[in-house]
Parts: sequence; structure tokens; C-alpha cells
Amino acid sequence: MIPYLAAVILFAVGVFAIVSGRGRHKAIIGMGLVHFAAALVFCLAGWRTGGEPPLVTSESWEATSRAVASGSEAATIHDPTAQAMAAMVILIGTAMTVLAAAIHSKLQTLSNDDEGGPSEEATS
Amino acid sequence: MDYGLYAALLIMVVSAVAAAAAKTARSSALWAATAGAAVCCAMSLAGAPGPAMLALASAAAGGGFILRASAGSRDDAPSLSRTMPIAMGLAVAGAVAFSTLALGELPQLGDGPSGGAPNVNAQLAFGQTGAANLVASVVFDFRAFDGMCAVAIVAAACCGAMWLFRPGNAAGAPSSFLTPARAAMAWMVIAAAILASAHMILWGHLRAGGAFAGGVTLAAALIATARTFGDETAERLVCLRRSRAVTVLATGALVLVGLAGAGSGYVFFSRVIPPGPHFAVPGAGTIFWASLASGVAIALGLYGAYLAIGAAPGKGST
Repeated sequence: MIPYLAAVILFAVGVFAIVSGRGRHKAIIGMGLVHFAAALVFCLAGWRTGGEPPLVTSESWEATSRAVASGSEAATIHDPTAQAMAAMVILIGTAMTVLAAAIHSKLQTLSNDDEGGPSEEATS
Repeated sequence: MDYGLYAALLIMVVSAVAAAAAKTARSSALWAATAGAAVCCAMSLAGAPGPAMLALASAAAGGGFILRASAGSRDDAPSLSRTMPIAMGLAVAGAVAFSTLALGELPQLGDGPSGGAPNVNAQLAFGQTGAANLVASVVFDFRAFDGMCAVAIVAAACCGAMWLFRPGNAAGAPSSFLTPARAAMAWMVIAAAILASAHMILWGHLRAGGAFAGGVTLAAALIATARTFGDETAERLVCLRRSRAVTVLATGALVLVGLAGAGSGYVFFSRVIPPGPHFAVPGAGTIFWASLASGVAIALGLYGAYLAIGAAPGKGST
């Protein structure tokens, strides 16, 4: 259960970064951490002891075909559906990061316009 | 394997805490990218090479976006009221309690979700779709509608970011640390990343990686070009207007691949091109074309959004 708990801690740190109000860039990073935590849980949930990555090679294809035909045990693979869901979570998280960064930048631009020009005091 | 996994998870948690506690956007983004790299290691050790590559590329590209969006910004941290720490504590405690309760519903680590016969499923999936990367089979065939929606979300977010700003002049100047030797090394690394991403987009349905990871890696390579050599050099590779047009066209091409199935009398995203010879690039039928369109849409969408944010009035590269 320790890997799952690590994902929970990552999720909690992400939530803290979002709600702590310590800057918009922290909130964007927090959203990314929450997405990574969700994707990690998907990958861990689909993991099988002694399994192999869900990639078919010519050797594994022949071995699996023989094993299925003879009804014997073949090599176990990790669950590809869980990994596909993890990939989609990360991709949607990336899209959210892009949109949040754009909105943050736009707000900054509008704030600079209100004050008559871009800020001289860059903190980053 | 376990020790490596625990080490990666420890680095991930420490880096995430450091990212949340860091004072500047630059150090926060760097710690977050380190956490993303640790997530990549953990996923690799959990037997998920495709999502691991995607996590790494996503962390790199996300770091670039945060640095660009924070360029020239002042400390925007509002002063906290007295009740705010209590609300924060409740939110974090609620998140931990909810996710700890949800752990009880998850399978024991190492059991997998179904406990069924994955070997037979693998046999069926590869025989039906021709994609040796079974994750690609799921994303672009068995759950192709979900995959298309994920790509559409990315394209919509990127186009929204591009249309949020009126295209202006690219303002990024090359970094001052760039000596000729460093520039040559940077070009070599970026060229290797572009080649790797092209390989992942074109062959990702047969090997580890996939179109999602390839697209984000290509975007990260182009963003690295812009950050290292300035926006003008990056615009010479692909300009903002062209990347916006290609994003829309590639997303439309993905929808057309789906409609081809519906138009031929079957259902959306059915296999109108039957699987060909095993382990050949076009052998996966429609999956190859769907993954090619997805990779191009994701790569140029993310890159175009990055350029658009930098071209906004009052913004420049960091």
C-alpha cells in the first residue's frame, strides 16, 4: 500500500498548492501534481506481479500463441486499459496547464496595462 | 524493483513538497519537473513505459509554460485572511481522507484490476488491431472515442490560448550563457529529442511511447528551442499561424478517421482499413493514421500556445 499512499501524499501536496493562495503559478503546478497523482494510481492499479509491459514482440506473440493454443500459462502483462487511462489523464492535465498558464499570462498583461506598462520587478 | 520504486516515490514526494514551498516561479517549476521525472521513473518501474514517457515530456513542457507565463510577473500572492489557513487545512484533510477511503476500493498492489486472463486479451487485441503497443490499441481502437475526446480537449485548450492573444512580434532573445560550444550541444540535444518524438509518433503503435508521448515530446523540444535560442529561431522552424492551422487540420483529420468508419456503414472509429502484416508500420490500419493525426495536433497545439503567450504585449521570454 505504500506506493498508493505516496500517490495520496502527492495529491494532498497538489491540493495544498492550489488552495494555499501563494501565487497563480503555484496553483498551476498544484493542478499538475494532482494529475500526476491520478495517473500514478491508474498505473499502480494495473500493475501485476511478475508481469511484462503491454508490448507485443514477435517472440512474445509466438510464445503467447503457442500457450493459448495448448491451454498452458503464458507470460502475464500489465493491464493496458489502466495505462491508457493514465495517458489520457496526463494529456488532459497538460491541456489544463496550457489554458491556466495562458489565463495567468492574460491577467498579468491586463494588470500591466492598467498600471501603464509592464512591471520592472520580475520575480522569476 | 521494489527498492527502486520506493526511491522514485520518495524523490517524487520530496520534490512535490519543495515545488509547493519554493518562493520563485523558476525554482517551483524546476522542482515540479523533478517530481514529474520521478513519476516517470515510478511508472517505468510499474511496467508502464508509454505513460512514463508522456509524464516526463509533460513535466518538461509544463515547466516551460509556467516559466513563460510567469515572466515579468510580480509576486501575486494575496494576503491571507485568518480563516484561510483553516479552510486550507480542511481542504487538504478532506482530500487525504477521500483518497485514503478510495484506496480501499483499489485492487491489492500487483493483482491488476480484473484478475482475469490478460494473455488471451493481449492475443485478441493484437490480432484484431495489429498494434503491438496494446495501450495504442485501447486509445485508438477499443476506446477510440475517449482518445479522440482527449486530443480534442488539448486542441481546444491550445487554440483557446492562441486566440486569447493577438499574434504579435516574438520577443525572445537568446540566453546570454549561450557560447558556440553550448549552442552546438543544445542543438544536438534538441535534434535528438525531435528525432525521438518523430519515431514515437510514427512507430509508437508498435513500440513503447505512442502518439501522445511523441506529440508532447516534440512540443517540449520546440519549446526548448524557443527558450534556448529565442522565439525568432523557433518561429523559423514553425511559425505561430502555421502551427495554429496545422493543429485545427490535424484534429479534423482525426475526426475524419473516425467518420470514415461511420461513413462506410459501420460505427464511429471502426476499422475501415483492415490490419495488415504484423509489426509493419501501416499494419495497424486506422490506428496508424489516428496516432499520426493526434501526435501532430498535440505537438503543434502546445507549441503554438507557448509562442502565443510569449507574443502577448508586455510579455517576453524569461
